[in-house]
Amino acid sequence: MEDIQTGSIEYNRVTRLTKDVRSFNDACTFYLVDLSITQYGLTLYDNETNLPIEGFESINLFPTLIESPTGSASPNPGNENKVVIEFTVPRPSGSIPENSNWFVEWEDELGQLDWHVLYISEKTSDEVQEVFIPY
Amino acid sequence: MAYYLTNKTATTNVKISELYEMKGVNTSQDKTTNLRLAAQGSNTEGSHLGPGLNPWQSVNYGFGPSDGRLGLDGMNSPNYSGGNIGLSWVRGMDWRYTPFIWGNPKAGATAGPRSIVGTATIYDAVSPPNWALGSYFFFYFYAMDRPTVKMQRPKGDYITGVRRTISGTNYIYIAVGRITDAGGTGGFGTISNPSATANFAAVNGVVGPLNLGQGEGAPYNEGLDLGGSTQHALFYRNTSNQNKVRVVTTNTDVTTSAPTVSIGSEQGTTNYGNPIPDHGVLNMGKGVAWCGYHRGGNYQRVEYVNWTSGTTFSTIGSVLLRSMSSSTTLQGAGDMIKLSDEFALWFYPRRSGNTSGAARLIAVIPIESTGTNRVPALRGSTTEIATYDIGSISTQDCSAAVGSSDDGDYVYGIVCWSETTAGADCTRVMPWKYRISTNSMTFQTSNILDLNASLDGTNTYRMKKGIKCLGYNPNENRNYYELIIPVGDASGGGVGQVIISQNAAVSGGGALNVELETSNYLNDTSARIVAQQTWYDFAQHDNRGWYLGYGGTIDNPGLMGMIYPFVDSNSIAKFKAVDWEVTV
Repeated sequence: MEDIQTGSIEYNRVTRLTKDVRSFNDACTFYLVDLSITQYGLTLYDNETNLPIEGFESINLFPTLIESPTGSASPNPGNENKVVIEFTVPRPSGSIPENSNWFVEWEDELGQLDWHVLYISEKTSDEVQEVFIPY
Repeated sequence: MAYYLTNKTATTNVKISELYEMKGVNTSQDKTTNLRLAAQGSNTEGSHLGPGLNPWQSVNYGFGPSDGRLGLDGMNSPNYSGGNIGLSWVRGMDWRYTPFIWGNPKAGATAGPRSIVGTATIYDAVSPPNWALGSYFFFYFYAMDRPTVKMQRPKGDYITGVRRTISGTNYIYIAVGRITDAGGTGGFGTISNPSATANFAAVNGVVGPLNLGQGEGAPYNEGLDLGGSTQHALFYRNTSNQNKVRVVTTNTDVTTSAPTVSIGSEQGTTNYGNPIPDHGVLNMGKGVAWCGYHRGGNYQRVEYVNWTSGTTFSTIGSVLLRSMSSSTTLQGAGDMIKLSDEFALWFYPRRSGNTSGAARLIAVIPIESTGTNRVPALRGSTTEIATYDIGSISTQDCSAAVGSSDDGDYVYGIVCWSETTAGADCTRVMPWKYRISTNSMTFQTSNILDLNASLDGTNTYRMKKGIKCLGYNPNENRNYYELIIPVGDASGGGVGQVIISQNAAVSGGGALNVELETSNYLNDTSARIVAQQTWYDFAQHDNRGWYLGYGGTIDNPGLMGMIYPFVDSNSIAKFKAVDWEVTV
C-alpha cells in the first residue's frame, strides 16, 4: 500500500478529530453535505499485508459534529477550512493482533467523504484526545 | 474497429497482438439457423458490445453504402458467403446503429418524434439516495422472443436491481419483469413493473450477464437458445464489507412462463476489504465477467468470475491493477468499457496529490484478458496510458463510451465528467483516440466540449451519467453518442439529454458537435439519479437479428425504443420507455 493519511488514538476515550479539508475546490463534498449526519466505519487490517483481519466486526460510529468548514452547508460553522468531530471507539473484546490498524471510511448518506487509517491503542487517560488528519 | 475473437477454441494465452492481427471471423462453425442477436443482452456501458447492437459483429451484406436500402446483417448470418468476415468492414458497410435518427441520407428512411410511452415502478425505499447510486442501479434485457412482424419490438424480459434500506438494513434487491410487444407495429405494449424479486442483506452490488458472448467456438447466444435459464454475475460488498460474488439465475422463456429470478450462495476469493464496486460489470465472453472496484487510498482491482454450470462460479479471482494512496485516491465511480471479449479500458477520476492546488485527473487503464478463464491483466507496462489534469477543481465520477473510426488500428470514444467549483459547475465531454497496435491513448484535450449550463447541477460531479454510443455513420464518418445527465439536488431536478456527434476521421482529433440538447428529457423533474439506459431492441428479421433490408420485406412502419431507469426524489426507482416510429 502506498501512503495513506493516519492518526493515533485510544480505545474507549473521547476523541476529537480534526480533518483538514483545505478549501471548497479541494474537498467540495465536505462543504456541500450535512456533516451532522455522517457515519464513521472502522475495519481492522493487517499492517503488512493490508488485508482485513478476519474475526473482527467492523465498528460503525455516528460522530458528533463539533465544527464544520467555513461556508459549508452544515451546522456549527467554524472559521477555518476544517471539520471537527467527536466520537469514542469502543474496544472490541478479545486480543487485538499487533501490527494492525483500523481503516476508516467516513461517509454521509449521499456518498463517501474521506478515507484514512487510525492506529488505536489501550486507553491511558480520561481526557479528550485530539488527533489531526491532514488533507 | 474493435474485434471479436472466435474459434480460438484450443488457444490459450492469446496475445493482444495476435488478437488484433486476426481480425477475422470464421463463420463455418457458427450457427446457421435460428440465430438472433438480441440487442439488449449487453450492459457494457457505452460500448454495448455484445449481442445485438454491436457494430463490430456485423457485416455489410449485399449492397453498398449508396444502396437505397438499409443494411445490417449479423455476422453469423448463413446468407453471408464472402469468406472470412473482416471485422474492420465496419468501416465499409452500410451500417446504421439508429439509422433513422442519426443520419441516413441515402436510405430514405424517416423517423417520427420520440415520445414517452410508459413508466414502471421498480422499487421504493431505494435508500439512502446516495449520489453514487446510479452506478449500482442496473437494467438490461436478457431474453427476447421472435416477432413475426419485421419491424416490431419483441417481447422482452428484463433484469434490474438496486440497493434498498428496509428497517435500517441494507439489501440488494434484484427483480425481473416483462415488457410485451403490441402485436404488430402498434404501441409499445405493456410496460410492466417487475413480477418477481429476490434479495439478501448486503451493502452494494452490481450485476452483469454471464452466458452471453462469443468465442470458445460458439457464436453469441440468443435468449431462446440459452436453455432453461440465464446466468448473471453479481459482484457485491457484503455486510462484513467483503468483496463477494453470487450467481443470479433467471429463466429464459418469454413466451409462456413468467420471469423468475433466484440468487445463489455467497462465494469469494481473497477478501481485500472495503470494496467500492461502482465501476461497472463487463461480460467478457461466454461465462466470464469482470468488475472494477477500489478501496479508498489503497487499490484498484478487477474481480473476475468464470461460470460454466449450476449456481456457483467455477473460477473467482481478483487482480491488482493499481495501488492508491491518500493523494491519488478515487472518491467516486469510473467506467469500464469493453472493446472486445479480450480487451477493455477503465476510465476513472482521481486526485493527483495533496499539495496546495492539487488537481484532479481523468485517467485510463488498458486491460486485456489472458488464458482460458479470461483473467484480466494490465496491457503493457504502463498502468495509466493517459491522464488529463482537469485543474484544481473537484469531480468524483466519469462515464465513457467507445465509438469507431475510419482506420482499423484506431478507435475513438468519449469520456464525460462534471466539475464543481465555487459558483462554476460544468459538465464536460472529452474525445479520446486509442491506437491498438501501440497501446497508446491520446486525450483530445483541444476538443473538450463544455455542455450547456442547463445541464449543470451542484451534485452532478459525483453522479453517474447514462452514456451510449448510438453508432457510427460511415457516410458521414461520424460517431453518435447519447448522454443522459442528472441535474439533480435533493429535491430532484430532472434529467437532460445530449446527442453528440464526433468526427471519426483518424487524421483528426475526434472533434465533437452537439446535435441536440434537451433539458428535462424524461418530463419528470423529480428524477435525480440515473442508471445506464438500454435499447429496447431493433427490427428483427427471420430470426437472424436486427438488420433491415435483407429480403426486402419490412412491415412499415416499425418501432424502436429505449429504456431509461432513474430514481426520483422520493427514492423510488422507476424506468420510462421512450419510442419512435420508423418508416423505410
